[in-house]
Amino acid sequence: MTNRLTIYLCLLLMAGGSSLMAQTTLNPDISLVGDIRAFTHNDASRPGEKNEFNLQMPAMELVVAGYLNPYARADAVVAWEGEENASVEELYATILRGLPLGLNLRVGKYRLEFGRLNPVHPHAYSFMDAPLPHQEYFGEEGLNDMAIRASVAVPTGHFNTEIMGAVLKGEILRVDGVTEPETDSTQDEIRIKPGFFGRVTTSAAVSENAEFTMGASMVTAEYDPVAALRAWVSGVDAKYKWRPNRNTSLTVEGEALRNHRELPENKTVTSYGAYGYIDYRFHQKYNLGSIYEFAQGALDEESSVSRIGGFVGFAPIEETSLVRILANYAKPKGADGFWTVTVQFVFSLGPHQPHNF
Amino acid sequence: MKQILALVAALVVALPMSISARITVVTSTSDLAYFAKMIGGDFISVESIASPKADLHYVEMRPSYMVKVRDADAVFKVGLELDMWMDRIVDGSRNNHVKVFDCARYITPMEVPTFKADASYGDLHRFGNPHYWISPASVEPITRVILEGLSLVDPARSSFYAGNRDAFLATLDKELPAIKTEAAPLEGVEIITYHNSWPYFAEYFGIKLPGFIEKYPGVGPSPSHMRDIIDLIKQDHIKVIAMEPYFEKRVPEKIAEMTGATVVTLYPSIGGRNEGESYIDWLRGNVKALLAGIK
Repeated sequence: MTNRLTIYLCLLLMAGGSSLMAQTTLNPDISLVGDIRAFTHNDASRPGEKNEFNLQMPAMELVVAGYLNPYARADAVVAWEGEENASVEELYATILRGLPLGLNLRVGKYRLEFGRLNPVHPHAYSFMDAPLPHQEYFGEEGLNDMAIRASVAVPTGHFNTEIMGAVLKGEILRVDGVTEPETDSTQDEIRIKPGFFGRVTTSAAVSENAEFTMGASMVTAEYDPVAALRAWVSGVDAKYKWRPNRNTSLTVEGEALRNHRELPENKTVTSYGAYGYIDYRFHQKYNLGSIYEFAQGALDEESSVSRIGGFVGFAPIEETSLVRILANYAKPKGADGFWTVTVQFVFSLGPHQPHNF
Repeated sequence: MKQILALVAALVVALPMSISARITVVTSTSDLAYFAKMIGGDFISVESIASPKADLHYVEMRPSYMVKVRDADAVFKVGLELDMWMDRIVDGSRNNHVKVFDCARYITPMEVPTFKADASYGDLHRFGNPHYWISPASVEPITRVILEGLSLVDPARSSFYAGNRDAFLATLDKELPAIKTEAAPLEGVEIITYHNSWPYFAEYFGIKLPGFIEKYPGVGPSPSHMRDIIDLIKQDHIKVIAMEPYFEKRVPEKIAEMTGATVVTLYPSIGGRNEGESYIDWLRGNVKALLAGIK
């Protein structure tokens, strides 16, 4: 009896061992990113926090990603912020190969490739938050929508050139001051018209250690479905990165955006925004940089905010844990300027990932 | 005169044919590119993504790398999760016909974790130490994969490739005993290395690796670990601290200063020490550097 039990246990352990190996090789990559912040400022419009030490409720992202089969990948990002319920920030599948003309097809909800920065989650920015023009024209969540997106690589010699286009659900470009359709009855009555997105980008190696990339993007959608008002945002972007070795890099990046929106009574508004930053990494663990941002209002070109900031970061063991400090000075037009100092701790739990350009 | 014209005409016709018939190969490292060239000869064009001086753990997925793979017929990678960036570069290349070959296929990896390998052990590779190409013992299994790959994408020349590989391995068989003899004083010698990149090399030459500058793989040394390494060097009379060229010299030089050991730069990839060097030159260069260090 004891022998039989031992054999059963051995078989069970062997089966467990093989299933463990199968999980190791077949399971998707799962990672968790935590973003914890403390801040202070002297902004008179937020008196409760002014000149106080404030702790922000932590934000978290759960990322599940992997190959579906030899031809396609799938990615999912579930986000929690503060005490809000979890939301599906991204959920999409990408067909990488097997389609004619080297076509790359993506279906699902994701952060659109408008410029180089929008697709990147803000916790990866050295300067912590989305730049002002993105916040002003795309809204708090960035440009993130349900899309069916196709992209093709254009043969241009040593340049990596890509053209992409997407049909969007159209729930984007919503900004403060616009009434969201809230009740179910209103939702039923309102048909959200699809949006459209397009981008062309090209990149090339400047030298063995440096790369340059530039692009132009355009997106349009009804930003106010109740009043059937449409917005168009277009932009140009450029990035240069010099990385002579594993310990040192210099990144210079910028983007300029044009916002054009229909207003009630057949009026329109056209406004502009831009940002540029420089980020120097040294001794692998440290980075230091500066950012300038400017944005006119999405619905009022007479209002504007400019902001200048400096940041330092320390990442002792790559992206697994890092500390950043950002100090910036914002000056809204016609109002007093104010300082904000933010300390951020970001950790990433999960498998090591290849490094993006 | 007519014969010369006929010869010229034949060359004019044959040259583009032979060029168009070349196989385009992209490898993740300069070592794999070197081996591929030894086997493919003039019938392949080969390019490496990573420079021979690069730290393969930290290669960025640059868009220009994707252009290199766009028209490739075959891609060879190190595998064992060292060059994961290569898979993403292939994904971004939009190349539907490229075949990807993992050169670790016939390798028996060292240091495969027999425990739950999580991040508390640093950047540990769960399928074993991936720095296998540094040992001469790995040339045979690596070139076996390359031969299989080239033969698969270009079956018409498989016997040509097999012949080239046999000739290359025969040359190594002839040269390696001399290098092993030169390296005899290293047998049983203890050296400290910065990263745990050299276990395959050390096993081949009988070198002992009692400690590393990094406390855990990919994690820089803490002050207490530095003290432990200093104590180890003093206690075992270790003469050499070996490091790759891409690490910062500050810590190894500080330890060397405090212990009297010598800091030696070892090059983990062919072409790192001298551009265009042969496999034998590269191997001999590392052996000589260590021999100079233990004197």
